[in-house]
Amino acid sequence: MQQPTPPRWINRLLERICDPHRLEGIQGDLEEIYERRLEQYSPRRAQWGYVLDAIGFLRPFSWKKRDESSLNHLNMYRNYLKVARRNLIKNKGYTLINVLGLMISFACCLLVGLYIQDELSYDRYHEKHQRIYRLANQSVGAAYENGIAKVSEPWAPEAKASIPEVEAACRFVFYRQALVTRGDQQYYERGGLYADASVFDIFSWPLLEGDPTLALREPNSIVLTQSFADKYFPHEKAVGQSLNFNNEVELTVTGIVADIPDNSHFSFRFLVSLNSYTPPDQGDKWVRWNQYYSYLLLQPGAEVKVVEKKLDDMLALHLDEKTSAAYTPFLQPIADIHLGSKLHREMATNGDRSYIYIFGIVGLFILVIASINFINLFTARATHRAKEVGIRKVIGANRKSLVFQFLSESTLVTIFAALLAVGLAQLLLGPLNSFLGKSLALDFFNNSPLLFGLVGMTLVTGLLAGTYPAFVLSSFKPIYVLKGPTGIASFFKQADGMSRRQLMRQGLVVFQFAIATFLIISSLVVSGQLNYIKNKNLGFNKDQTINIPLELPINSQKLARMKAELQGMPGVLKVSASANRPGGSDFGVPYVAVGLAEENQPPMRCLVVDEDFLETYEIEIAEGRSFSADMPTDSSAYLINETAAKQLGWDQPLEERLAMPAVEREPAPIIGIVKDFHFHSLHEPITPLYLFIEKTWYSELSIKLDAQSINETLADLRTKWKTYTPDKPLRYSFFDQSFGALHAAEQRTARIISILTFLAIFITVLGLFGLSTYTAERRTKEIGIRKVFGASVLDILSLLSKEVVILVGIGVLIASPIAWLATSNWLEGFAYNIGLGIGFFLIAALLAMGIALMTVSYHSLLSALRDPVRSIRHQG
Amino acid sequence: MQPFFSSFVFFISYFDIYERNKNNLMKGTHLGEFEELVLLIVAVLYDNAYGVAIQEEIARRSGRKVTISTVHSALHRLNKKGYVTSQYGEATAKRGGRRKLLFLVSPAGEKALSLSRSLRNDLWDAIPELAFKF
Repeated sequence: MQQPTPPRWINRLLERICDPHRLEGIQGDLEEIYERRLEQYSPRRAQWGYVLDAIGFLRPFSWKKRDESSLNHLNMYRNYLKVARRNLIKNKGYTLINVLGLMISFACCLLVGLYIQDELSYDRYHEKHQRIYRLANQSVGAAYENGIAKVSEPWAPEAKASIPEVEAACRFVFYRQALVTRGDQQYYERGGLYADASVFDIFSWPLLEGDPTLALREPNSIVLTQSFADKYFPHEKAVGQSLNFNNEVELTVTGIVADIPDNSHFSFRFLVSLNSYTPPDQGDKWVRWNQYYSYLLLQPGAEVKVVEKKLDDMLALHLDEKTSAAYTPFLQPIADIHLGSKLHREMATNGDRSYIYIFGIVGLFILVIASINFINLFTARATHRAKEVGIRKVIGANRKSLVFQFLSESTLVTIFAALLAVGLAQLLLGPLNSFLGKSLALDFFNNSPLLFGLVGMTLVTGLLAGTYPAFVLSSFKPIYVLKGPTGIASFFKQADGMSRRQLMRQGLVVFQFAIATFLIISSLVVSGQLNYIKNKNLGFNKDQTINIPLELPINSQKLARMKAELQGMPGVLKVSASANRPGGSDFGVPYVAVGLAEENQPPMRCLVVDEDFLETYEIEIAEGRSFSADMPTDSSAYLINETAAKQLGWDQPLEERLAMPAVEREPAPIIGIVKDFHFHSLHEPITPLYLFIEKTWYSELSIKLDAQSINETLADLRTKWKTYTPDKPLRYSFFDQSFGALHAAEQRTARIISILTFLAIFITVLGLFGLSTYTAERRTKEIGIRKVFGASVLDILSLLSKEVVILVGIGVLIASPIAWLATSNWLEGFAYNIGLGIGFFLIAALLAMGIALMTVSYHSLLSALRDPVRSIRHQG
Repeated sequence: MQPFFSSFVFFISYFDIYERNKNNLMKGTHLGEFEELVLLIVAVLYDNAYGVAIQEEIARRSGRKVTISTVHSALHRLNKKGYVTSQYGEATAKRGGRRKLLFLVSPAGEKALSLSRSLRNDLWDAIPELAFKF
């Protein structure tokens, strides 16, 4: 009878895993135990015993040991590095192209990364940022879509008092620009806020001096930031001293707070206790005077939805039914405000999440383009190193060590490029900071994500870009590369590999040009749109106009005298007083269109102006007439814009009347219709607007100056101003600048995108140039022979350019639809846009084609003009 | 370029040396309780000390049932510490014709054993007589 044997599979497993030296002894011992078990137990039981015992050997102690034969690795690595260095130095041109491209792309990625990191870090330095929310309000029927960032006075305190989930509340109100005096120092200061005493409980702004709980408790207390304190109290203790504000009030310094970090969605230079602020009496406190930026600190674990519901209930309790139904209070997590909030009246201009994506993607594109250059140049020149690979293989290198060699070579290049990139980024950081108005720093020691990002990017790029070339190179058969192709079979094999590699290279070039074309189209559209905005007829003239804030309260007689005097000055074309002006500072005051059903009355914004306003801003009248100083009844009359006229739907608007019961204005006639003008940014469509005269509301002067003598006129104005308010010097702003600020974010983005596009194209061109150098080199002989057979220079040129034209053409075809999607999406964000014409795509295609042809033409021309005798004669 | 390259070389060479020395660095010389038992039995069995024999001897003398892999694992550790040497014996018809992997105590093993023994003896000698008077 055949002896039952132990299971074969377990033995095979042992053979695979165990140290071959000990394997025989181990198997022998197992076999011996098995034989003994066979005598006592059933074969099955013995077999199971064998398996169980054998499993005991599947432990590290019995594993095969790594081959520790004494290959001198160190010398081998040294050799790799030596060969790598020689290669890099020998092919200076290619090395330069690679290192330059990688360096630029790394530097871009570093800076983009730094920017993104900064944008994402906004307000996260507050210890309790996960529990801090801003209380905002959405009001149905208001002229602003997304809701308003501030609410009225009692909301936040009442929320804290009545909703148990609210742990603390703090409100901020803007402090008007103030004239601050201490001794003989006197400056106008901006950036002040009124704040509740609870501010330091909620926000993590460290108080360097003073008691955080008491600092803002008493009226007329002020907390200064460090830099503000240093300005007025350079070498002394500020706490306990006082500062004079507007020659009206003495504020006592009760604390010094560290300067507010740049990554805050709002900032301040001093805080004044909110209980020293008296809001104007405008009736119902719950609805009027929405000037309070309110922040709530919720209890840990509180549900935002629940709190929002309770806030809604709270409003229902305090507001009349109709208003509370229209209002939807909501909470915004503080860390999301900078990137995610686009409300009416934000405290400062917020960022935009989409720009983060745009910059991130473009940065990645540039990195990809540079990596493709690397791959292409490396594989294109692979044949030059075939002999080296062959020799190494013959001597005994295995594929793994060759892959390792080429990977270390590529990583070496990326490491070198990364080191240079850090230097480049450091150089560019200064200009970038002043451009963005940020203070970013390349601090690798305290910014570990950045450091890891750089190291990771370097290694990943080195490995990814090196992998394909490494596998191509290491796959060479030594017999072919050393003996040269012999026989048909080997010839086809080689040719097959060549064409596959060439296809890969061409595919990558197509990809590069697709990216470049995409970026060209995008930046063309972006700059086209921004030019359009800049030059679009806004419906008014924004040039050579200055705005001067007025001291409140306004004395009408004094103001009239002032206007007349200023109007008489040389160089002053027109003077107007108003409460607001185009550019987003319009009001929303409830109005009544007499005789219209309520649902037919659209939400309207208003501008409070005087008789000279339309003339100063060159706003045209479409119908009827403007306000006139000669008509005393005009002080209660109204103007509306064309959109309002259309939406109100009257047949004869000039015979109808408006009223504003909320501010006690009786119904009065509409005397004219102004042509539509853009009183908001071009992101928003023109909405209904009405204009009226209300002398007591005026807060600023607009002065149209003669372009010839602006500087002289400004100097005269300054002198003149001293006679009105001797203690407060003139301050003014140019209207075109403040209006332009509405589109500053886009202008900046456009600049950055065009710079990045330029860099992307530059790197693409570098790579193409390198490839064309190589192609020209390879085809020298072919071209010589063609010329001998009578090809003209033009024939040769077209032969060499044909491939590039095809590749770029495919790239353009791929890029166009994607670019169309992306840019049309972006354009939709503007109510007034240029629209996507075919022109952009044609220009981009021509541009890409032209750039590509110019790049290859240098080498094409060289080889086309070369004397065929010389190109055929040399062996190679 | 030069300093940059050399620092890279240094980095790689450091890694290489570290890898090669890792095994030596990790090797301890401590003799565990079970290891001591196995080492003594290798000495007892002298010219027939292989896996199964050791396993049986342990069972016979101490009553401890251990698996064959445990014995091999201990032998491997002793081998790495240099306390035993191993060599293959002659092939026989038994064991599927496989040779036995025989172990011998090395001089270092002998030294470790006597060190352990003298430590014990010293400790026994140092125990005051009264300590065990219960």
